[in-house]
Amino acid sequence: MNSSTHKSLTMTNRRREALWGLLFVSPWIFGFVVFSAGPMIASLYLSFTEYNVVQAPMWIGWENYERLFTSDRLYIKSLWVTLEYSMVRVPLVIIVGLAFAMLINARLRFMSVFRVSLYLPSVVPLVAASVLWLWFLNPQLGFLNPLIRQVTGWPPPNWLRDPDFALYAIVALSVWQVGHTMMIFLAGLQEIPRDLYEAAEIDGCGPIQRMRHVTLPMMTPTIYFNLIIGVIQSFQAFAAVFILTRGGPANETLIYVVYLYRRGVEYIEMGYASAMAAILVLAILALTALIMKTSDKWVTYDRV
Amino acid sequence: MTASDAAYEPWRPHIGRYIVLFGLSAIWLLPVVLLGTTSLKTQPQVYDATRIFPWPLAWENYKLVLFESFPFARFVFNSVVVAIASVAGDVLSSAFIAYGFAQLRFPGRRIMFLLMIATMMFPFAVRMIPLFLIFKELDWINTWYPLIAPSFFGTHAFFIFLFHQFFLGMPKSLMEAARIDGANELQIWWRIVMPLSKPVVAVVAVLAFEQSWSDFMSPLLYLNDPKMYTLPMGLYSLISGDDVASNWHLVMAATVTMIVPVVAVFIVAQRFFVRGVTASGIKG
Repeated sequence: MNSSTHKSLTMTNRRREALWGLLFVSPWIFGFVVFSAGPMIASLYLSFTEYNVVQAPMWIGWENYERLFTSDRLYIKSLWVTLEYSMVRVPLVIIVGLAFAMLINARLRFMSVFRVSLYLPSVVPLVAASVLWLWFLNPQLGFLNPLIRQVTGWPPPNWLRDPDFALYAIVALSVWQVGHTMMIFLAGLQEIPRDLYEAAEIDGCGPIQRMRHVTLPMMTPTIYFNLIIGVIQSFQAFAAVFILTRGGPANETLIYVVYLYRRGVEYIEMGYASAMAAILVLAILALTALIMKTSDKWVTYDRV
Repeated sequence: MTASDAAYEPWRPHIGRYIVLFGLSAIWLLPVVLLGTTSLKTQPQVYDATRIFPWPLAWENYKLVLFESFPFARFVFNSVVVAIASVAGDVLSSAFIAYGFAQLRFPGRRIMFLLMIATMMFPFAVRMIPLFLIFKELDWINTWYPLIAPSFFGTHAFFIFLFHQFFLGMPKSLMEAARIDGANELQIWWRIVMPLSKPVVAVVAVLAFEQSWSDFMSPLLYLNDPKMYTLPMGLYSLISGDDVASNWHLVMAATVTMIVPVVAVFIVAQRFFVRGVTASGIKG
């Protein structure tokens, strides 16, 4: 075989491989265009229009965006609610998740029983968990309030209807479903080399110092990961709020996507809702970038 | 005593940890236990809220929810059909696409892979309105197609990513040998790669099942005929009705009906489920 036929043979082989490759990813290309990129571009276009489905979209420039920030007080409210929800939920889930993971991370008998018990609630689908929560917190027929009344004699608040408590009652559901975060932390804890602890012990570190100087620094990459995932999830929260409070009472739980749904689907203001969606994307990207930017100040990357 | 038992540390110095864990586990399991027991209460017992264990057990609640007062048997059936179709779509399309990204070179591969990963960042809310318009245009409102069809086109990037990582670790010599024997890429994927990928198939199938079974926003958008409702919509319609107040025992029976299959899958698939979720870090 001379070199030129060899070359053309590899050329056809390479071309054949490329054709096969494109064939294999072609379902993704189709799905990407039709279900992801296309709709996103369409959404961006709609955000500059007024559109109620019945009439064709009408171009109105930046009007939707102006309205959002200058005359829609509910929108500003929903931004604050979402921010408050994230700022309460994300740290709480991380702290509880890490604490649980540390508790079950021991070579002791029955640890797997505790692990399954604490993980199980996070397997419950969110809609089912929300309905369970709705009953659990029901002031008369639920469990919590009658129990508090019997034990203390004091009348507890109607958690989901009280503007001061409703958002926290929703956060509590996330804490109950912390099992998933706990498992990620457990995996992180189990990757910490044991000799680090042994070295710390030889240096005279007690349990608190070991946690302060070994466990926490070694866990920062996992905390960082859960922080980003947690913020992204919090900004997209919908089902639990929609089922538990629908945004009430007094709009105290009017979280971003619930308000977006109300505008887009219930009021059929599709252009306006699309503008809200565009800002949601920007907000998520900006927050993620912000967290990433601060990460080199507190995340330990040099794992041994 | 087996070998792994010998690896346990003595428990006595850890008695405090046991007490804390026991208390926490009890609190965390309490709502699940109450869910089960409330679902077996009779209507008068519902008003006796702090009574945990009802007697006698009202098993007929399940009959009422599934067949008589509410058509939950229908919702279960709908959810099963949608879940089977979505899982099949997710497993097949993700494995197919991932094979192209992992094992074949073609122009644009890198950028497409990056775009695919990037789609995980964008919230569903951004695509929601145009998607609704597309499906309305296709006359797919009140059908299950919007819940199933996207699964067949690799729309769940995370599943592709899982297969991709697994395929990268496969020995190339295996596929080379098959190529020399004259097999084409389709045959290699289906006859050689897929039979070796059972662990990932299991993980993706479990996650895809959980995702389809729990999906609330899509059916909320696309289904308005109760005959077509999947379980999350069925449950939602139950609590948004007027007769919830006195019927919490039935609502809880319906909730149990929705949870049992997920928990069953979780128990059966526990080992790779937990491992897969941990490795991934992202909930379906």
